[in-house]
Formats: sequence, C-alpha cells, structure tokens
Amino acid sequence: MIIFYNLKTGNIVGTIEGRIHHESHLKMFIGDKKENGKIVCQWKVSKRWENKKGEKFVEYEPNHSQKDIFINIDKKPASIYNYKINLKTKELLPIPEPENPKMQSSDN
Amino acid sequence: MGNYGLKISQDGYDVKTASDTELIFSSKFGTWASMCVAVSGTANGSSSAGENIDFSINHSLGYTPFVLIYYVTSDNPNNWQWFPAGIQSLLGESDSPDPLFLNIYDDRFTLSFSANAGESVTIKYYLFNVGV
Repeated sequence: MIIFYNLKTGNIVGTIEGRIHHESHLKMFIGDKKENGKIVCQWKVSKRWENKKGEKFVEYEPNHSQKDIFINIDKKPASIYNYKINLKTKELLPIPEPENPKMQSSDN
Repeated sequence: MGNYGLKISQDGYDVKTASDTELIFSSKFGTWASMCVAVSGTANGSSSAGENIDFSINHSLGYTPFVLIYYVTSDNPNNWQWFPAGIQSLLGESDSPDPLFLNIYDDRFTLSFSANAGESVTIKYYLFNVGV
C-alpha cells in the first residue's frame, strides 16, 4: 500500500492499494506534491514451503514495523481513514473516537 | 498455424486440459475478456468552509484508462454509491456531498463534489488495463 498524507496535518488523503508496488505505482501521486507526502509499505516474503506433491507456496507479510495494522487495512482498505500519520515518526496513529469518521469498508 | 497463447487455470484444474470455463485467463478471449484492474485505491477529502471537494490523482499509466469510482459521504457513511450516482445526482437528490464531474486523461484523473461546510467524502477508484 502507498499512503498519501497532508504534510502539515498528517491527515491521510489517499491510497494506492496493493502489496507489491512497481515503478508505475511508485510514479503515481494523489493531490499536490507540495502539500502531500507519501509512505510506501511493500510486502516481503515471510515463508516458503513445498508440499508432498512438490507444489511450491510463498507467504507474504508487510515489510513494516506496524505490520498488523497493514494486514487489517489490506482486508478493509477504507479503514485507513481511521488513522492519521505521526509527522515525526511517519507511523500510523489511530484517530481518537470523537474525530473518527468510522468510514465503512466496501469489503473488497 | 499452431496452437499457441497464454492460459491460466482456476485453482484445482490442470491448465493443459481445462475447458474455457475452468480458466481465469486465456489470450484467445481477447482484450475485453482480459480486462482487469491496473491499479486501485482510495482518496479522502473534506470541505472546511463549504468549498468543493476536489481530487486529483496522477496515474502515469500512459493511456486514458477505463475508470470505475464509488464514493461514500459523511452524511451517509454506510452507503457506497456509484459515481456519479446516476439520475439521483442529476435530480439533486443524492446524498451530500454531490458529485459534480469526472475528467480522465492519460496521466491523471480529476473529480469534484459540491459540499457543505464540515462534510467529507471518501472515494474508491479502479483504473483498468484498457483505455477508453
């Protein structure tokens, strides 16, 4: 996932969904480059295994210190707007209940 | 001419023997059948003083893509609607913020909502691998 946020407020203004982002996604931008910043969370291989039939499997996880949050957002993309960005650490911060828009995911 | 092309079968089917209905993809299906989402995401905006809520998303795909957009408003946060909300929008009966326009280019797309002060809107966008 690529997250775009307001450089002054930390409010999230948009996202590009996905787990592995190549150049075409990395070139994208939402809003004004002078007003917004971006955070890229790529997923990495966490496990590889092979079954008795010789079929190979690969498991991925977010390559990020807040990987549990990113796994939940991967399931409900619009829940990203329940967070804002800590402008110092660039980490996701849950928005306190009264301010939280509680946008519901489209479940896709 | 020989039998050549690219096929991907559904889970559990051997791609070498699968019928067309057991395939996820076959190059013989043509462009429309292989239409898929090139990139998707969300955007969120609000109106602090009753100004329009404008979105500008630079996609860098290099072609003018088919676009599908849904949105949800702060007025009705559980109801995802198709942009531009069809006849309801034309009649001014859709939930506020109201969708105004969508412009699609080969490097970006822009859309706008009219809104009252304090309202917000979240969009979900899908850009396809097929151009208009």
